Amino acid sequence: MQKTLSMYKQFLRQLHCYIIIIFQGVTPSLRRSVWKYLLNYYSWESTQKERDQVAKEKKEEYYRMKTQWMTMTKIQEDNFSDYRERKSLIEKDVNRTDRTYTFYAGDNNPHIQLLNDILMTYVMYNFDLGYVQGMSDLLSPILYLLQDEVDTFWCFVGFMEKVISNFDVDQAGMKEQLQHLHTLVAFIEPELSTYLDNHDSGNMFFCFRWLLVWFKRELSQEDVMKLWEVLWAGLPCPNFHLLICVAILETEKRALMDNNYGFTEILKHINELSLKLDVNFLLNKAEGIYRQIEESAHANDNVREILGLPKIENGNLDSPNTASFTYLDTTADHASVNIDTNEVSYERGISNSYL
Amino acid sequence: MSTRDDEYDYLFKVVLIGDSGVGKSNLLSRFTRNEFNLESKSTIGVEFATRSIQVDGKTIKAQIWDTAGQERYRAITAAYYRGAVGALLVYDIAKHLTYENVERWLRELRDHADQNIVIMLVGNKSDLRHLRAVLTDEAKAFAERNGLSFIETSALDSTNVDNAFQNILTEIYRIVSQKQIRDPPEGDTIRPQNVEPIDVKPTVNSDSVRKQCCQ
Repeated sequence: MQKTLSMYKQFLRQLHCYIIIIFQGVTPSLRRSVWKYLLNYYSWESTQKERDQVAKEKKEEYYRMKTQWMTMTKIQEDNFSDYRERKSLIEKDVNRTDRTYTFYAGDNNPHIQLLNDILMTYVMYNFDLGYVQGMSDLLSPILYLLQDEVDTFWCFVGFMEKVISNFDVDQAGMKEQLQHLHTLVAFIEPELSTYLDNHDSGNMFFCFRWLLVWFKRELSQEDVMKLWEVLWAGLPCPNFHLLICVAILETEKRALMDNNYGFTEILKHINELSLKLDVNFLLNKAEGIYRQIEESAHANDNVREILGLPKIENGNLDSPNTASFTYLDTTADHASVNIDTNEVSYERGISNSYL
Repeated sequence: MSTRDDEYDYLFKVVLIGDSGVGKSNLLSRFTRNEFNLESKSTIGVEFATRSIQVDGKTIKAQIWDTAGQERYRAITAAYYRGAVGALLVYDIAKHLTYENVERWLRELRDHADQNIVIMLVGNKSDLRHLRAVLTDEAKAFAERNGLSFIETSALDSTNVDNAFQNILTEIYRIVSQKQIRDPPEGDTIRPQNVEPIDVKPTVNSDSVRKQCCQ
């Protein structure tokens, strides 16, 4: 029984991956259904009856939470500054979320109200996180597609679970990703990585927006939906979004280096790529980079671990200390000496910046 | 578009800081492109734009950095204060809380920016007269007590936006040019970065590399 279930699950996953990856232009109605699985609203192995039950329970739960904030009295609000702050920030942000799209355009747009209500309910769902800027960007395409308040909320919850560390109070999740990105760039494009280090940009801060909202500000609504599906599916590997970054940087390498861009010009150049990127090209290129790393004999374990690849079997790589030691050891060719130095200066850069 | 061969005598980096939603990005776009966008998005990370102005016959290129307002992102945005010689600390005249938070922003600058940074307090959205929640005199008195200059602006109807930037850039220019008279740079080149109290590279462009009028 267990085996049948797991085979069925496998089959479903493959089917969906197939739909997403091969037929990239899935129809909106198919997409509406696929997203609910990708965002863990429904489990892959559920039956229709179970899904109906989940939908019913989730609906009740949603409205219970919504009522909590909707029935808050003025005195309660006056005595609850954290709540007030979140409420005010949400109001400010929904009113400047994707207003250029017809779906969210114009005065008194009901969809803006829905964005507001869903984010307010999320505050009640996860008060510790509350609302952080960027979250309205993550929500907007989901509501645009699903056009149902409750479904959108729970799919948004699923999305937030995947990226919640982006919104850490101390930004630890973002710092780690920026560091991982640097490691990947140092491996794939050591020349570029050295260049960035030497031009005050080794901290990769100029990629912050890409990572925080998964390219939402860089791509059109349609393209970002396509990209997110691939990333949600975890295909072809975890942290594939970092390889999308590498793909862009590889494409822009000559522009950055030949123009001898410094700290400010790099940031400006990267910011100005917004809405000029081709998502299909990037997906293909990033997948190519993944294959290259997967098959590379000298991809060190730091790189492999980021992408969920098994560590290289040579006996003593299990402890973190040996792993990082080996990382330096196994990269003793010309390019990798740079990696070593870069890592040191990068570490220094990061800690300086945060002092 | 490279900025390296532009024509200018001084390059001043100025940061725009203040609570989320006070209009920092629109102040920037109004000053640099004369644009105001009602549909503008919240700023994620940092953005910047430049514009050159004339002071005393010198061309001053202002490089203005616009930062995300939410506290959560200060760990990242504070990295961009480095090298800034001016800061426009913006609040919304119709939202008292954004004014109350000015003290927090001043602390933020003290912690992360150069100690001699020139700060201007900017009460934005002055067009919202009927919603005013912060009195001009109150903010002015606060600015005086804290050694800041002060102005009220409206990025929406353009009131005082140019003046705000013009004033702070002129103030910086005066300080820098006086400093140069007092303390002339050695050989005019090779000044170590970020060690001067005010980190401005004087007269970085010699006349020989000037392009034909581009501004």
